[in-house]
Amino acid sequence: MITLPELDRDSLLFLHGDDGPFAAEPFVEALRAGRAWADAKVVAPTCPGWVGEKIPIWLRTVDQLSYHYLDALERSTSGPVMAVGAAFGAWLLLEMATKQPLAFSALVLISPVGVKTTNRETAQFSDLFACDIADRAAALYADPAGALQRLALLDDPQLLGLASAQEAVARFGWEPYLHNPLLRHRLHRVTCPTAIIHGTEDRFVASLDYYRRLAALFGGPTSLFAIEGAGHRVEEEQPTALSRCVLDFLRDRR
Amino acid sequence: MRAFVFTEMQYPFVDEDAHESVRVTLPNEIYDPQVGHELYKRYFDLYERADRYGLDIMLNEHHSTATCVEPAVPLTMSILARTTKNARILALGNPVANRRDPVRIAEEMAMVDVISGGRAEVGFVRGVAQEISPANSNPVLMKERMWEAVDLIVKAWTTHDGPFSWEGEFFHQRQVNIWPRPLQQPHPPIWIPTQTASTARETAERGYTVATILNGAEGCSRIFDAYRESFVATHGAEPAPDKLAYLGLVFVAAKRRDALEGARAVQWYIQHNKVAPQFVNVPGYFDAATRAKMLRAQYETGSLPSPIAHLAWASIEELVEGGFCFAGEPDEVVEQLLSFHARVGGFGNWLALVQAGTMETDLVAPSMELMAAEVLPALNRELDS
Repeated sequence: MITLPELDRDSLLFLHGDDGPFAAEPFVEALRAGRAWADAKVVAPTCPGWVGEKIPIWLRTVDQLSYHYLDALERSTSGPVMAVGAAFGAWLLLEMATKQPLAFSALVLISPVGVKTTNRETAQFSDLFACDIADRAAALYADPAGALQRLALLDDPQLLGLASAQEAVARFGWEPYLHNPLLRHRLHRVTCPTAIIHGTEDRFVASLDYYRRLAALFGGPTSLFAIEGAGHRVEEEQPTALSRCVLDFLRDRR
Repeated sequence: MRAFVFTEMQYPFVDEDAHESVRVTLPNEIYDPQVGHELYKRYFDLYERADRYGLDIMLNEHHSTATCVEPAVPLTMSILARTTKNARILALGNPVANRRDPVRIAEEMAMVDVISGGRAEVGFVRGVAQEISPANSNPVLMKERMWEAVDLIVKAWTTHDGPFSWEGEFFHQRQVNIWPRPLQQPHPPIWIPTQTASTARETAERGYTVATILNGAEGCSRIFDAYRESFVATHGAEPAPDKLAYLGLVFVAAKRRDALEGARAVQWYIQHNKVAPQFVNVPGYFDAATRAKMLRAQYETGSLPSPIAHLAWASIEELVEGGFCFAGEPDEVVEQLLSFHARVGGFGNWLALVQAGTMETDLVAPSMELMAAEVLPALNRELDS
């Protein structure tokens, strides 16, 4: 179901976010262009379901999805790898890392979802399925007007990709909304060095304190970084600054 | 031909311009329960009159909306099971993909069937997109969930030798053993309302009745053709007319001018259904290609045109011509129905939206009386001949 090329200790695995691979393209390009060490390969697979292909009816939780990624990882490398995930991709990495902590030498989580820290009457994340396009842009971007302009310019294949990506997010994250209630109770198993990066203008989470609370649940050393001029979709709004932050963090932890 | 009358039980006293949507997000402080009490009396009175005239009854269920203050169709069915004598009582339908306990639906419908003396007609529906958030129902794989729920309900209705277990993809039940069981054997007739050919085909494979709503002659033909083709392929014979149902707006009056005026009052139904785009363009509810086009409209214009917007302010003559409305003096309505019947290849259930907005029973009742006393007998004479 998932295939990865051969990976080594210098490889960097990137798992895209909610809007799919095309939204992360500039960031992935910036990672490749700015790679800080020779032979650093950036591998960016597309998650099953994100391009509208049929996937098995039983594949509808991130928990289940994570086993298939771990299978693929086992086939492609014998040692731990560095991995970066954005939003949904970061949730997927956390599910994987709690199951196989030794599979990772370092993790970078960009605007991660997957965990809830608020009480039962406070939603952890904005309900994007109840937002009109303006409210959705306001929740996700530091510059909502700029984001709406970009979205209006998407061509037909890109819009189809976005529609497929949104369907996949609903499939895996409708209820409980973008989190697994059990995941937080095993986050202590994440022991590799981990960075959480978020935008300073992230209005998608109930409060920016979410990222600090999340960091406190990990079993290993955790660093927290904030990127100026970015909302929740950091990889879209500040791809260059983000890639610099990611590579700076990973350089010391190869 | 049977005729089922229908009202959506609207709460019509809403200033739509003041709100983004009359569905999902409209605060219920706008709802005055005393006014609601009077409205329920109006709606139940209308249905009880329909029964006295010899007509059948259609009900439905929606949630978090002023367009249909009927969030529990088993309740309305059960009231009418006691207060009517002869009418078939059709739920069109139970939103099974949005309800978490199909066995409970099997129990509710069986109880209505027994109370009514075997008059229940039970529809199952995937549910409209705007119901997904209020139900917190995952919009992905809804149809698969709907069919599994229907299969479980049918098994609950038809298993009489003690409990069974069900461990499906979406529903798990143990000790399923409903009391009461339905009066109609092997179970009440099952209906599936749909606007898509694919669901019509699946309905035909199962031998259930298909219903389609305000699709016009063209859209209705597409649904019925798909149903017939699939029915013949599965069962080796043409479906009986009573396997097909169509709903249009209806107003009948002794004078044409009054009929057109009454039909315009029923047209209110289409004009007052404001929904915020995000509750219509729901990921997973429509296929990605359809949604991509809807996203294009939203990003370019900030809004999402309703698929029935062209009907909202069309003239009644245009609506009649397209097969969306049947209105006029009794003879005219008979002609309209015969023409529609021919255009769509025949059908046996005429679902009539007879009331909308603030229309009072004194206005609607004479229309229903003419339906029952003049239109239906003449129509059936013509069809029989």
